[in-house]
Parts: sequence; structure tokens; C-alpha cells
Amino acid sequence: MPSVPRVDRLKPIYTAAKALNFGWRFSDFLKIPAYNGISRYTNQLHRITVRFCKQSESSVGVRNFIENQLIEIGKKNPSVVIYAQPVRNSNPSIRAEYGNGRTLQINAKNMTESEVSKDFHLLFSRSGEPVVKLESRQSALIPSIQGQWTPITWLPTAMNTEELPSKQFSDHKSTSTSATEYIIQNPPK
Amino acid sequence: MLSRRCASLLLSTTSTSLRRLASTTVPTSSSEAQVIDTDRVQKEVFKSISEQVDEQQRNRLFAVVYVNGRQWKVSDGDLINLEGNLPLNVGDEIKLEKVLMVGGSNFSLFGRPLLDASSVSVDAVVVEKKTTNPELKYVHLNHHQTKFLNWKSDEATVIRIKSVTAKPVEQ
Repeated sequence: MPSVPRVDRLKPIYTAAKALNFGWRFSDFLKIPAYNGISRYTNQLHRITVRFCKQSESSVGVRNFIENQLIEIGKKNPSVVIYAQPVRNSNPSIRAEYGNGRTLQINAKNMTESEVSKDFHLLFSRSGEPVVKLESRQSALIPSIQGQWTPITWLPTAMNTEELPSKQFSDHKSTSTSATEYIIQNPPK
Repeated sequence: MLSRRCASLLLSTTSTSLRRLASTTVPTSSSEAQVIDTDRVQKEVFKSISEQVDEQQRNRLFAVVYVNGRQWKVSDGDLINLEGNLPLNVGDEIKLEKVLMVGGSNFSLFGRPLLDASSVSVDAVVVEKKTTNPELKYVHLNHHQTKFLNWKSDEATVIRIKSVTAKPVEQ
């Protein structure tokens, strides 16, 4: 496969797609910008722009969404600036700008009102970090509090000065009594 | 309250009397397990755990909580990525109540299976709801003119652990 996969032919698209899962991809640890949520949560979305056309058929869903739902959402989220921007003969899109300076844009062409609404809410709940493959499900400030466990962590210190192997430390330990021990403890009459 | 539910108490700080008790009653053979369970020892253990847990000390605690079908070892400020679109909004504060274990640098406290929800509190905030990175399912059958390309993406809910705190043990 070439280092830069060609996307102008159908076959290279499929071949490139096949390689995507196994080849090099962006991956990162779980992150949230601006220490959000450590003391309090603040919405990371700052402004959101809806671009649509007043007449074309592909903007019907967006127009209905603006008419029916946008005002309510704006009232519920006073910290977010919402722009509705009519642009003649344009593909409708939703563009969101976040506190970390990133912008996300969704092409809303031919979407229904409910689809537009779903994407709009998704943009509201995003933190602005790019979606990448996660290295881990969890990220911690301090990896361990009791320290990393090693096989010798809880071994008795008496073993340090003992000449090994010794009978004391070679015994098999069990909570259940063995048959031999039982007979020794309860000798047959 | 905590004492009723906890199964075993492990104390790595070796208090003098604990050591004395262990040395006076040495088991006859090393295969015998010994349970140290007197009121005096219990009181000492509870007292030292209460000191560790005390909020004035500001000791960092961790907890093992059961969320989203799996167990997570969490501490203050941790982020965990839960699978699926959970019925929570961004900014919601939740309390994780299935706490299996609490520990500090010097003690560990296990529930059987759960610790009392009123004595241990793990507070969390929902900080992000997003989609996961798409995985590709690609099938190509040679000479059959058959190709499937599925982009599989799921939803995820990211939670920040605000604090892990525990009440002192009642005696």
C-alpha cells in the first residue's frame, strides 16, 4: 500500500479502508480540556452557527428545526451563543466552536428535523476534543495510591535473613486440614 | 456501620499490640490459619482506619466501584469512559453507590460484596457525551464481486470522579 492512499478510485478506497484498522491511526488517552468537572462543570461549547438556505429542499429539516426547537434550546443554555445564518443556495451545516479553540462542523444536507436535532444535541454535549481511538478506558492523575504490587510486596521479612530453601517457608499453606494432619490430630482409638 | 459490612481488614501499619498478639500466640504449625478477632484488636484497627479516613488529614482515597457492567478503580479526578448513551445529561452530578472497596495508602476495606452506600461516597460528574472512533468491518470476497464496508461507531459517556470520601468507622 502506498504511504498516502489514493481516494480517487473505488478500489483504492476499499483497500485503504481495509488498512485503516490495522495501520497507523490517531490514538490518545482519555482527556477533558480545562480540568473540567474537577471542581465544577462548565459547558465547553461557546458558540454554534446554523447555516441554511431559506428556499432549497435540502435545508427543510434544518428550517423546521430552527422553527420548532432552536428557541427552546437557546433558552435552556444561556451560556451558548447561537447564530442562525441564512445563506442563499448553500448546503446547510451546523458549526460549533469550543473553549479549547476547536471547531466541529456537521453537514446537515437532506437531514430530517429529528436528525438535525440529534446532531445539535451531540455538539452541545461534546467537549471539543477530537474523537480518536482510546488507548485506555480510564485516565488517572495518580496511577497508584498503595504502590504497584510486586510478588514480594507482602512476603514476610523474616525470609530476608533465612537460608533458603528452609522448611518453614517451603510448607504448603492451606486453610483446610489434610488427611494426614487429621489423623495426627485425631488418632484412631 | 462500616464494621458490619466489611469482610476483612488489612492494616499495613503494624501497630505494636497487633505484633505482640501475633507473637504471643504463634500457631503450632505454619499450615494453620489464624484469625485475629478480638474486640481490642478490632477497636484498634477501626481507630486507625478512622484516622486515615478523616477529612482533616486530606489523605487520598481510592475506591472500586461497579459501573456499566465492570469494576473501576477510581480516585479523585479520574476520568472513566462508559459505553453507551446513558440516561444522563452533560453536567449532571451522580453518586456511584455500588462501592466494592475503599482504600488509602495504609489500609484497604472490602465489602462483601458492597460497602454501605451511606458510609462511602463516590461523587462524579458527567463531563462529555460523544461518539466513539469508528471501527471498520470490511469483507471482500474474491471473484464474487462482493464487498461490505461497515463503519461501526458507538456512543460513550465520559465521567469525572469528583471525590472519594468515607465516614469514620463507628465503634
